[in-house]
Amino acid sequence: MTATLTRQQFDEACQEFIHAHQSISSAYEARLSGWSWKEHHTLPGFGYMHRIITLNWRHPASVDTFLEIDGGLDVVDDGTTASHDSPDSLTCHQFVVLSATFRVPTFYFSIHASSGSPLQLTDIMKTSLLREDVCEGTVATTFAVSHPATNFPFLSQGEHPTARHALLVLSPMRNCKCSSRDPQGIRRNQQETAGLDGGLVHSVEYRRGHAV
Amino acid sequence: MSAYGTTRHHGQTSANSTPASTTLFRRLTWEGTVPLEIRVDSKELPANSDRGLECYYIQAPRVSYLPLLMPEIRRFLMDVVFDEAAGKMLKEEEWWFESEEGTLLKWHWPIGLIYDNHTISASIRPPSQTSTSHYNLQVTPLKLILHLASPPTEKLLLSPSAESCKQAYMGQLKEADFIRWGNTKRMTGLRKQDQDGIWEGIKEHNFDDYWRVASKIVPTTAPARSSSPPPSTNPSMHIRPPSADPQSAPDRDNAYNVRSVPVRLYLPDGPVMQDVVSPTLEDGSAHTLVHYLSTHLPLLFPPAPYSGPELAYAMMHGVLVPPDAEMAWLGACMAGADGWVSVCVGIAR
Repeated sequence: MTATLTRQQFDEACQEFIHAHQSISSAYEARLSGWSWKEHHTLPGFGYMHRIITLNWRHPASVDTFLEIDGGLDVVDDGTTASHDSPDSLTCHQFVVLSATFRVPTFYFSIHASSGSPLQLTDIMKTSLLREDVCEGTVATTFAVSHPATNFPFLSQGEHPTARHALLVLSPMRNCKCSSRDPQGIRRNQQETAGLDGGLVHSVEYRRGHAV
Repeated sequence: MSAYGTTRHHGQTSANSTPASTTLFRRLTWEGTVPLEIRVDSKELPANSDRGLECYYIQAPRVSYLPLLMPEIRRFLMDVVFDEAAGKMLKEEEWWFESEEGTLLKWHWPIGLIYDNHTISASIRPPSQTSTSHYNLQVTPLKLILHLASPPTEKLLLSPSAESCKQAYMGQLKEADFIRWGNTKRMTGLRKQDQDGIWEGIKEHNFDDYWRVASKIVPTTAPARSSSPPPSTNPSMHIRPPSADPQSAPDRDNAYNVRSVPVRLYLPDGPVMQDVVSPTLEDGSAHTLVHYLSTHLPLLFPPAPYSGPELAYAMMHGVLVPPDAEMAWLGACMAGADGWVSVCVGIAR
């Protein structure tokens, strides 16, 4: 069964999740905390979760070679984005939004250096946000990172449905495969989904015991 | 111009071909254009630029995208405005557009949608002295300011290249495919040559090239038939491959058999609304635009019976849409080139 959520289910699950993880009693809980609920400034029914966390470079002194860059597309260094050379800690804005198309929670984010410059896609793959092995076999352009065998990019640029900001988005198609009646499947999907801390997105779904 | 049945087969259909009326509306949608006035920010004009000539006018296809206009704009600036030294310093990846009102223009939105969104945004601002229309739908050039540096990267998608635009576009086609059928088999079943070809049709603004591929994924309004006559020998007709089951082929691709019509609703300065839009209602009747709007925006489109003044209007491709238009038909005949039915709602004056 494909797992989808109604707007009401999503809203309730998110707010329950936020409330449940307000207190920090362990390192695991710490990774799930810090979220707040946001609404569109004029219209109801467009709420989402948001938080800001600090990240680091996965290998600050090394040059990663996991990522195969599409040779036909230049990764342009125009000086307006931060590079891996920066030793600074990184600020990550994270959002969990209900995908209107796939009806599943979708993870949007942006990462900025201390200067405020956003990271390019290739440098984002080198941060502590994503597991190291996630990039293996992927092909990257300035717009997206894709596994050749999949229909949708694993990671791509996107627009926050409510706030209209330019962000990066993990493919919501991965979340579509999660079944509410298969907790093992949920945990496997958690591991697949770029190793995000605590499988946040799937925690939201699993908590509600969702069904179509 | 190849004939798609609009002249030789007007009003007629064959089992697996597209009705002439469908093709007519698809062509009308495709050929829509909007006037743009593009002016370089005067503060960013390089030294020795020919000031006074930094304004460029273009009648842009609605189905096209701003990154696809960049080469033409750059040629103009290089030929007329900038001196050679300044021209060499130009970095198109740092260019960005905003409207006169300061609205950031999105690379991944079709130009027609940008224009219509500007129109409906104007509907909630104080009317200009020259505006007397109830709907304020005068076709005037959309005045854009072209900035040459320092793009607001936190608000704009990065890398405004044609290739990035293509990837964003293909993503929209796949989403639309998923909305219709619950999977993306029709899109992923396209050969690489076809996937590239549909984008080339957009780039070159070639109706035939675009629909040669799009006809394989966009639903048709052809009526279901109990028997299948021989396929037409006219190579210019939109012909679908004959199915092993002739009776199921027209039904399978019929616009009224989709799971949901890919529709997005744009409000002035508001978020984009998207919901499940079934082609038919629970009683089996066709889902019409008026029903869709009165369900999702009851305060602007009060359900019948309502006898008060008109509060808002719905626009697609710059034209007012009849309230009894069927959503399935709109999805087949008046969707944008990205597969989406984009309904822009403006406030009536």
